[in-house]
Amino acid sequence: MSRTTRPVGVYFHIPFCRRRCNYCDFLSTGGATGVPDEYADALLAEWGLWADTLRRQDLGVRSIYVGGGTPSLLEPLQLGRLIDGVRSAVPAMPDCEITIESNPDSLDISRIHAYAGAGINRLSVGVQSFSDCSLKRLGRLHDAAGAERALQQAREAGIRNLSLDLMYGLPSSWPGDEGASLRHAIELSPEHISWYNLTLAAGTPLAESIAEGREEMPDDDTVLATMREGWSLLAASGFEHYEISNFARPGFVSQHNLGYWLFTDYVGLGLGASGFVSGRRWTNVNDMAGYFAAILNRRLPVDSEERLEGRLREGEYAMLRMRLPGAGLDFAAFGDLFREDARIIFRDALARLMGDGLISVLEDRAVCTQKGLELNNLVAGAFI
Amino acid sequence: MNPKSIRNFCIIAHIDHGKSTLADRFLERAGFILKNKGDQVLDQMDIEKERGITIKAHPIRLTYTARDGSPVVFNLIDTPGHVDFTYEVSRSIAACEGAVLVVDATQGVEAQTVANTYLALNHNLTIITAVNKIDLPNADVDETKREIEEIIGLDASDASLVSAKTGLGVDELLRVIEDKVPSPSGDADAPLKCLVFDSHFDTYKGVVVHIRVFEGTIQKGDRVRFMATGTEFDVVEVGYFELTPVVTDVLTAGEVGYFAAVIRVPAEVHIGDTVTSAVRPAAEPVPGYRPVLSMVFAGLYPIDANDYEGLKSSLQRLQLNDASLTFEPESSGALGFGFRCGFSGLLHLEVITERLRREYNQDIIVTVPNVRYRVIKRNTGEEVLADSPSKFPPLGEIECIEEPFVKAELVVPHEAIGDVMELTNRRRGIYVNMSYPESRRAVLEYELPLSEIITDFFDRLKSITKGYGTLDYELAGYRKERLAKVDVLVNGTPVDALSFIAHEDEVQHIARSMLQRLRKHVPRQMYEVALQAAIGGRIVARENIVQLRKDVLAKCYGGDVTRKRKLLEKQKEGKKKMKQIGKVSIPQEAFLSILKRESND
Repeated sequence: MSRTTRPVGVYFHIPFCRRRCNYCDFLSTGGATGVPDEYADALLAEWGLWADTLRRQDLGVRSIYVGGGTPSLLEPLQLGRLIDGVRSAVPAMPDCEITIESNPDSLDISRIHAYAGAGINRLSVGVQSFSDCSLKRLGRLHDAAGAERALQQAREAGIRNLSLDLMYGLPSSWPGDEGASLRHAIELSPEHISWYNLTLAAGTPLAESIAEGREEMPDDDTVLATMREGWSLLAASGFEHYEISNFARPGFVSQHNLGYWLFTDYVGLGLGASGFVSGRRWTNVNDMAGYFAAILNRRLPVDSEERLEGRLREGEYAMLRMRLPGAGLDFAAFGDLFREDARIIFRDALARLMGDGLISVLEDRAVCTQKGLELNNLVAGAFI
Repeated sequence: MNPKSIRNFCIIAHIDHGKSTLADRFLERAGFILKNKGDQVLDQMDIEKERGITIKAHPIRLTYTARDGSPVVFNLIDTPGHVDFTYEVSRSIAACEGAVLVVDATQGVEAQTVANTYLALNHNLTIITAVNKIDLPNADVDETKREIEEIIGLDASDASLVSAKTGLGVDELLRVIEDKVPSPSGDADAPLKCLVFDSHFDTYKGVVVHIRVFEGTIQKGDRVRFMATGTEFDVVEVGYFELTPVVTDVLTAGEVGYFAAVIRVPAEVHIGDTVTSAVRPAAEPVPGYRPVLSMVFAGLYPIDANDYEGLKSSLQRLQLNDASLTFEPESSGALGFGFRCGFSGLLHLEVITERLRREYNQDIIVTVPNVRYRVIKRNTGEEVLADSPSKFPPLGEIECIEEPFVKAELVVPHEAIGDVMELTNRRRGIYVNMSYPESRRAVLEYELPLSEIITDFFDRLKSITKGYGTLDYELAGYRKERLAKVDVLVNGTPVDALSFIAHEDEVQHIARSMLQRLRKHVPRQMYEVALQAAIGGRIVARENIVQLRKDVLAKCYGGDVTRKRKLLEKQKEGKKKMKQIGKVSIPQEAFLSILKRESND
């Protein structure tokens, strides 16, 4: 490990759930009771295909993130093999962040203990709401008490970096107070909160129910009011708003997720996973048979890829950077990476966005205003 | 060719009365093999098939054996069948000596049939009557004959009874045509005199001019002159049409065919013009030529300014086959450079814009169609003919506005009279007369503003009368009306392309409905957008588009980045296709939505 060592993130996708949630369009199969060993083996084999390439570059593993689906369906032994597999091939950086996403219904204290023993130092819990009624309608398998119990057990198991996922902007026809859910979450003192506006995804049961008029989504003004209120509350409670939907106590920003927005390299492993290494973006196939066939043939199971160059790469960089309220588009960092001055190549976009009150241009960086965060797609669009 | 063996005729029929099917039977009996059974050969354009109307005239030469065993040549000249194309019909009729009037035995005589028959009688054509669809169980031959006699005033006692579908009576009808339609007269040695009744464009030959030779001869190498325009060309090919063109040496008096003369500019050939010899010109042209009369005007603009030249050449191509299409360059503050186009009616406008999109791949915006108004200026009394709202003088300078009226004849079933009268009253119609030529139908005569007819009047009439009503109209001069030019303002900026003319009593209603439609199609923007309709400086209607308040993607992790960027790229492409009015982006659909009046208007 030297000063020139580049950080790399590693992502494992676990596309299995006990039951699919009504709003979810992530790649996953419901009805699972665990993760097949064959799949865990395939993940390691896929990692093996990468390891040689990565070893030749001076890389250090900055973070490992096990997401899904429902990664907490992994047996601790399976998880341990994945983490060890990564670390044995490419050296891990000393403060390497190792996260697993989990659902409260598949967690208990012994499992959390075992996960910690396997190397997990950050636990992300998909709580989504503290309203039992909302949880039920979202199709979640846990209730508010179950979520609280899981969080408490995580603490007891010694997890020091705990994150919690919550949603707002749920159908207006549902009872349940989103502000109260958020206050409840803050009272439980997690280190990190991801607070998302529910996105209606086509083809999900919830979207169908909305289309048929059985549920109704709240109007923009209502969602906006909730959002602003929540952001203030989180800030007042000592959380740094470091990304549009992410909040952390000082020192607890998710290193893995931050990597996505800072344009650092990451390797995505598993069904439908995406990666980004040396300016090349790829996405894996999303059918299980195709995935296994590729792995068996010692081929990367890549479905599509693109090489980002020139303005495309710079634009995407700026688009991602502008999701970060504090860091924003850092001119020095941009110059280091692209050998160009963002103030010059984005002069028109910056001037227009500033004129529209969407961004502020500071001495060293451009950041979104409150309006620019609320209309972040307009900001991002200006750089594309 | 000996004119004695020639018969030039057309078929007059109401839509769906079987004209094209009958033509197919004629073709088969002349030995042509029709490939697609059920597809009528003479109607070639897709749009015609879809709409069931004939837009273009196609001549065809059919050779049969006469009673005496000698060959006899039939030139069948097809005629357009819709109310929008009267002039074209009249030119086709002028090329003939006879006409076969086809009447559906299950439907009886329709207004369109009457109008075209009179057109043919005015040109002294010999009319042969044929009652069609006699094979159908609900055919009423006697009643149909009675209608032909009572409504049109023709002797129907010896009408041919046919079924174009089964072929029954078709051979007999051909004999009647041979016997009764006069062979053309005309001196083959006189100076050349040909009527232009149609044309089409050929990539290699240039404009191919469809002609009827009345006097003289025309052959390759001749120097010819168009009498109305004065332009001259050298003939490089003459021929006639079977299913495809057939080159021949010479066309003589009495014949129907075509010539090509490397004419590159379609607009130089006018339907109804007379072609003569440049060396030995005829003294008089064939009578009846009329410069094209456009009734409806609209601006056509390319979405992408770079397509201007492409749109121009597409319009030129279309104009070749379509004498009633006119266009001249115009520019709009909102839409940039485009063309002010004149059409014979709203259907014509729709056909042209549809062909531009489908056949020429032109991405266009069409502005609100309007008629040509006559504006009298205050003090000076000067007259301004305005075919576009942008040509209206400022409100303060206007003394009064006159609009074109038509004399309309509506033939409607008895039971629909009340509803039709209500429709015509709503459209500011002035009742003139009503008669009952026979018990089931009434003929209503109205004077109506042309502007009220060019929208969806015909569709409404059809729907009220369950398809039985017909409309025929002719221009009847200008009349002073309480009209106003309404401007549409987007955030205070007038959008010239959205201006329209409306009657003062209807301004409020039309303006509000228009703004509401516009609102639905303009995406929310960062600012509140005010849509206003104004007469002069007076706001008559207002709608607001509330500002876009929230537009943010909640999750953007590793797998979402590409998708997100592609979405933004797509939006950017879409925005390029929108028109920028100040800071407001207006999509093409917004302009299109304006064209559609609500059905209860």
